[in-house]
Amino acid sequence: MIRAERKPVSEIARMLTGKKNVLVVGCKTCVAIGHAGGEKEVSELISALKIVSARDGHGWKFEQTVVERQCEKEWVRPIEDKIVSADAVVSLACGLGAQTIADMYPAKQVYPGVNTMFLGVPEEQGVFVEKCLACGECVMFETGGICPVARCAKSMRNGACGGSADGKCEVNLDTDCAWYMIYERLKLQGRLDLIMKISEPKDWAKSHAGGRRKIVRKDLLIQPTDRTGTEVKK
Amino acid sequence: MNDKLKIVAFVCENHAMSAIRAASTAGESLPESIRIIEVPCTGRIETPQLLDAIGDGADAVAVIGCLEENCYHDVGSMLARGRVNRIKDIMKDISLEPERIEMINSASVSGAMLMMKLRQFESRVAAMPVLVLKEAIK
Repeated sequence: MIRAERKPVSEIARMLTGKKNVLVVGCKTCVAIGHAGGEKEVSELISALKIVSARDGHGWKFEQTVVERQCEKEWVRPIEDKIVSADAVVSLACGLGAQTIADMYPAKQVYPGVNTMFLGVPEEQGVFVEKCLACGECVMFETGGICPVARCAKSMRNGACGGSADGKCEVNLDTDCAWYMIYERLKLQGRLDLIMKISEPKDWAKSHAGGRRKIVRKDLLIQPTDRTGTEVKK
Repeated sequence: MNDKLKIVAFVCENHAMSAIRAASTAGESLPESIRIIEVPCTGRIETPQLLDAIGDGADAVAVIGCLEENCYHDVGSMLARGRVNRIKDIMKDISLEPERIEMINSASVSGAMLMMKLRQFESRVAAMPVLVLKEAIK
């Protein structure tokens, strides 16, 4: 899931200087599961901001709500009245949620209440680690189900590098070397021949380096046709 | 001591409350500034409740739970410690004294020691600058 961390309260407070009616919107999906922007975190932020407001005389009035998925317009539309009546909207969803509201209501000032960090999984209670870089070209079929792009500090396609020692990464000795793990995994699976295979350089154009990406599922499009059956652009 | 000092104490109804009752039976009285809110387990206190206590006018907050190694609900005191530390971080972030919130652990048989810790906490809070909130929290 998408992992995020709440911005410092003081930073959010600075964004809200001069505003009066503030709507704080959480999201019940990734950021709720990741304890960054669900119902509890929305309440926590407002409680902290109320103290700042009372102490510094900002006079902020808060409204709070949490939507099922802030990245989808269908779930944002029902809270339109609240968005329209607020001077400022603080989104505790990931960057997708904040931009969905900002794009739907371009005249409204929407502020991010979290820093969106990475695609990760909970490793243990309270610990979240990055495991996918959304690079656009998954190679885990030949790396034993371990992603070298996200889990190797150098995103190496052929490893391990000379900085791997005792199964740890030279960039951070607390981090397991992804390529050491790949070796152990392939050994377990009897597929060590794959570790000898030299992989071609990665095509980063399929990642964000190639610009903003887009997926189109044509069968899901609602595309009218003319009498001859030719698709007509809407 | 500031007569108007207010300290909200969230107290677990198990070992911590037993300790307070035992101390009271032995003739000890709670510091005057302490207002007790009895809870089933300190692990159920959420962070907004701790902040709201300050926001609603308390000078400080004490969370009083079982000893971590002997918590009635196993991990309640540990969870509470984590949340108290989180609130300390938030208070530092917004330029308030993090010492205004403390986690205190007590065995049910350690009433006198708990009372002493509370008196010490009250003294430390009394020595802090008065927390002025310029408008009522709505």
